[in-house]
Amino acid sequence: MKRLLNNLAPVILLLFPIVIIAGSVNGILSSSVYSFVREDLNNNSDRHIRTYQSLLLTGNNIGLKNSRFIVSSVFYYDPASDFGDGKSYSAQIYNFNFHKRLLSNRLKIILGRHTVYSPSAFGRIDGLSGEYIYKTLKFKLFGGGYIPGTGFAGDPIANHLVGSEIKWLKNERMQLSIGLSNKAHAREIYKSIKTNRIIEVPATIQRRLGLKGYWSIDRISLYMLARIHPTLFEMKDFNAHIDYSHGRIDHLSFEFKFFEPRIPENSIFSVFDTYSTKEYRLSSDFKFTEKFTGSFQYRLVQFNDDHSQVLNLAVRDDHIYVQFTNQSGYGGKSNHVTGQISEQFKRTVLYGRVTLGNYRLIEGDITDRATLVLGSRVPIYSKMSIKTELQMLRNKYYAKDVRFLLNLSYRL
Amino acid sequence: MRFLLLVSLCSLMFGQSIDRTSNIKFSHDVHARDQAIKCTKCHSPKLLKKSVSSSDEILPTEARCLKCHNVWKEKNECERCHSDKAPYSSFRIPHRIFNFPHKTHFVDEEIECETCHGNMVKTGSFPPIPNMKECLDCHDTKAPLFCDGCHTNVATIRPSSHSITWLKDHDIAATINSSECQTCHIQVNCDNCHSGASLSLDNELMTMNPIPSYRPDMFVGKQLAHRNHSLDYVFTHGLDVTFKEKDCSVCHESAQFCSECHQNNSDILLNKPDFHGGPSWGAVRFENGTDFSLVQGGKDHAMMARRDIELCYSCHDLDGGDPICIDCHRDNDGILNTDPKTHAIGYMRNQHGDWCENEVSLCFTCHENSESKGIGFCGYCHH
Repeated sequence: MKRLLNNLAPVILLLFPIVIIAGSVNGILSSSVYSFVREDLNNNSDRHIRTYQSLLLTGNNIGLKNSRFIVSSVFYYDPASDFGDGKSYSAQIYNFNFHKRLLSNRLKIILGRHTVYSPSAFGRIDGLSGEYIYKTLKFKLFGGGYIPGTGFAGDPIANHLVGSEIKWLKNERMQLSIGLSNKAHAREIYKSIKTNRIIEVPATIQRRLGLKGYWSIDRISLYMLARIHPTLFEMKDFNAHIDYSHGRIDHLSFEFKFFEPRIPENSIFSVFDTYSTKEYRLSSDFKFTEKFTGSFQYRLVQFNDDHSQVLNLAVRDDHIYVQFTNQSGYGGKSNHVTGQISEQFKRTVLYGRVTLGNYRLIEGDITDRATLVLGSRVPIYSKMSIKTELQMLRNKYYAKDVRFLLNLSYRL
Repeated sequence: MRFLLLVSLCSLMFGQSIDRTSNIKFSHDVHARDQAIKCTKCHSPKLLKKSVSSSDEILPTEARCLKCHNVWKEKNECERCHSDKAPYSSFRIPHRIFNFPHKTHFVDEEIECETCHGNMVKTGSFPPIPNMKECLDCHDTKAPLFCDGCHTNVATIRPSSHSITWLKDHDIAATINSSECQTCHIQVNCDNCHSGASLSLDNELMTMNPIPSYRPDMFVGKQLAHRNHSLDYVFTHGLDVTFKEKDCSVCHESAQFCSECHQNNSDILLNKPDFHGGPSWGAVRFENGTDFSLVQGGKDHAMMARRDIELCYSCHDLDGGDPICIDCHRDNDGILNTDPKTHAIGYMRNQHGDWCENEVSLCFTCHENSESKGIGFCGYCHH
């Protein structure tokens, strides 16, 4: 592909009257086949085959100095399935954008489909973003049609994300950001069958004022994020985090979170009498040796009148990973252990991963679960590798559930 | 205890390193700086031109050293170069964990040694091997950037910060110093999750077959630990939802995504949760021939909704569907406070809502737009 693009360069030069500057094109093509055969407790069996083709293409300084284009997309096709007519396909373009740096890299412009991240909002847009750096200040503006998770753009007026951000970056140890955004996402009408009514719902408008700060003093760092409704002055999300690191303690941190239910403001559910949720988290990573590390995490989630808690313990080195998780409280109950071992023989990697445990959702019986993955990654040559995975599952729904993955990655 | 010993042993075995300076004394300062000797005088261009791997032998042999230092050899002054004891060993080739073809850089791309290795000043006997940031000066802008282009252990390589808490902590790290992330990742990697890659496939297929938990790992696929969710996540994801383990809405458009499966009542796996229904549930009027309409108060469903209304929303608010709450939570008679409690006390008080100007205000989903003083919804205020 790279050679093809290089050969086409003179043609491109003729088609586009711009100076072609020597640049580079990188890319990854990944083809996958994922299939499963399963049998339920009544001996009914299903099969399914799905194929994926993904593409990531980046070009640097092609046509313009200090520029870059990025394309990433995935195409799905189901050639055989026991569901529906057995054939369906879908395609998504995640990125299709062009970057340009100007004014000695102080101004950066992105045009096209891209994702914006700011203290007040994030999301994928078909639009324009600009960043300008002036001394210790960074100004950011973004706007465009909002692309929801489905990947399909709607009316850009009813589906849009616009916003701004100012970041003060005193040094690497201290920074403050403030941002304001307006995100609109159109919804379908409500069709209330029993009340025999059709309600046209206006687009979801989510306005947020975001504040973000970071301050590091010696071995301690502080972080804070707040998202506020700018007209009602209601706190919607709040996150405070303090972290300590020294010697073998990679980090020891405490975090507090507060959040209102994440429900669109034009949803029926937004009008109910609801309560916020609070979360407290204590976590630590510890280095036994340079390569052998341990992690600990305890979370307490406080609801209106109940709570849930989660405990994670893990140890890891380059080849072995073991994790234990216990969840209990209002949300249900769960215990599980995951172990992974991998070994590299020359350039071939073999690995195995097993999860054993049990769980209970909010109510119901405790049920066992087990999954096993055996896989390999074999490089064919420097630019191509094949990955295979055999996956086996055991649970209360299926007597047999075996899946197979074959993936071929090719680097341009 | 045995396990810890095993892991420690593995760590020692695989993490073993060799001290290159333990047996040969050599100074780049003296040779390259003081004597201004060209690199290729010692490092054979023939070997450099053939070298396709970092483990290739490109260091000078003793014979090459003796072209200049033969006097020391003749005088038996072995300790001038050898720091170990007889019998002397040759320069130890360290175990390399990176791919690096000198041929590509030195011959194909005609890059000068100094471009990567610097000017050798104050390097002592240690070889001035470039660090990763220096490699990235060219790789990505002038040359390809792929992890396995250099790293041979890309399947398992991970910074120590990427522990079990990383999923929750990575946003802070990315905020503070995104350039550090960019050593290994490009923003497309972020977008891969945050834009909900491969989350919404074909609606019909998803409804009938919610199993596929594989997502093509487009850009960091050479890593082993790439899966966002466990294989059986379709059965256990309810735990993460109720434990607020992950903010699902970061990646999923929850109103659509959850409902694609949960609105489908034909599959036994996807039926309503066990805790729905019965006299204590409080939100069912008729079940198994019993009329629960006289049950007063919200009972369990109200309690759970107050606790975590996101859970209700995830199933009952499908775009274009029938939000079941309206069956009861609506103004049936136009009279205030005669219907199931819905709003918090003081809801929208002192706020300018859109019900006066907007004929399709959300309020009219449950309230009749009476537009008359003293009647219905408008009559609450306009007497």
